[in-house]
Amino acid sequence: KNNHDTIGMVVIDKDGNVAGGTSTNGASHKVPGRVGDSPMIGAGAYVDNDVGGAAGTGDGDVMMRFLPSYQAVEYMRMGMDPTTACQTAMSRIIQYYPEFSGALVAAHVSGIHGAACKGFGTFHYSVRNPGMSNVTVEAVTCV
Amino acid sequence: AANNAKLPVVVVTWSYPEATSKAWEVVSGNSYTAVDAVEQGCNVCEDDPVLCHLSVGYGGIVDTSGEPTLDAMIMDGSTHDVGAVGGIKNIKRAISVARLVKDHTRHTLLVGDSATSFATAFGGLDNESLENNVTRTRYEDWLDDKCQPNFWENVTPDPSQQCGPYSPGSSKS
Repeated sequence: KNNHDTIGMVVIDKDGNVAGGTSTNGASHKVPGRVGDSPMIGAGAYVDNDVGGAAGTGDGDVMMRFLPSYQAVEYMRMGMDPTTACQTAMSRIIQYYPEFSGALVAAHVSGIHGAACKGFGTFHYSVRNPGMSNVTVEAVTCV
Repeated sequence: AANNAKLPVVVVTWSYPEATSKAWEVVSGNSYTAVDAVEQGCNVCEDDPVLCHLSVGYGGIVDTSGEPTLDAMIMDGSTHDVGAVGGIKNIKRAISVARLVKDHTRHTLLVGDSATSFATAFGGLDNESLENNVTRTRYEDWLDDKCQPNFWENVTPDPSQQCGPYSPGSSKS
């Protein structure tokens, strides 16, 4: 089984400050020295207080060639909702790598959130906001 | 600009409720920032990687030499300041090293053994093995399975059949 379960996180505080991050142990049986998408700005995560943030997980060797977190944030800046922004950013990868697997989550500074995925069947992501009494795990059907 | 009915919000890849809860608890506090929430949320997976599918932190993935290495990054959307580490060894809380890079250097990314030295000498983090029985078993099973799968291509011997060391084969078309 390949490792595709990196943690990617976006947090927006009550004043609208956005932060993002990632942490991972990488890909199983990677070549020594290999670095994935997680520490690459715009690939593993990207945030902007004017817009919101996005974070990714999946086949980092492919994903980092498309800066999907940056692209999802830019799509939200253009007015897309988070789900559509994630889907559209993923579609640009799929065009070149139809067999890859990965996912993006995103949150807009308004508080709305979304995700998109490829190759996992169903992808789960975790959310907590003031309207929830506990963490909610959302399920997304992958393209 | 914020819609306070929907903020704060924490969004996390995968079903990682423990990490999500921790980030929420932090960002809901009075004196903590979104950056603190991201760091401390990810620390939950790094400290107990079983919670996060052994895909974060120690005791999970190894490279083809049998060694675990970690990657992490943290970004502040209010300043666009970033800290990141790549291929860091022997440090469990990789995102906390990334936080030190962000807060205490004007750099963005530190890598490899030098990042470990930064974390221990400057940051005071423990230098400790990331290996355990899980990583050793996974590595031995992989060797027994003729090093399958791997990420090599266009090399000899055939990487889909044999272990290395490999030499460059025909160039990629």
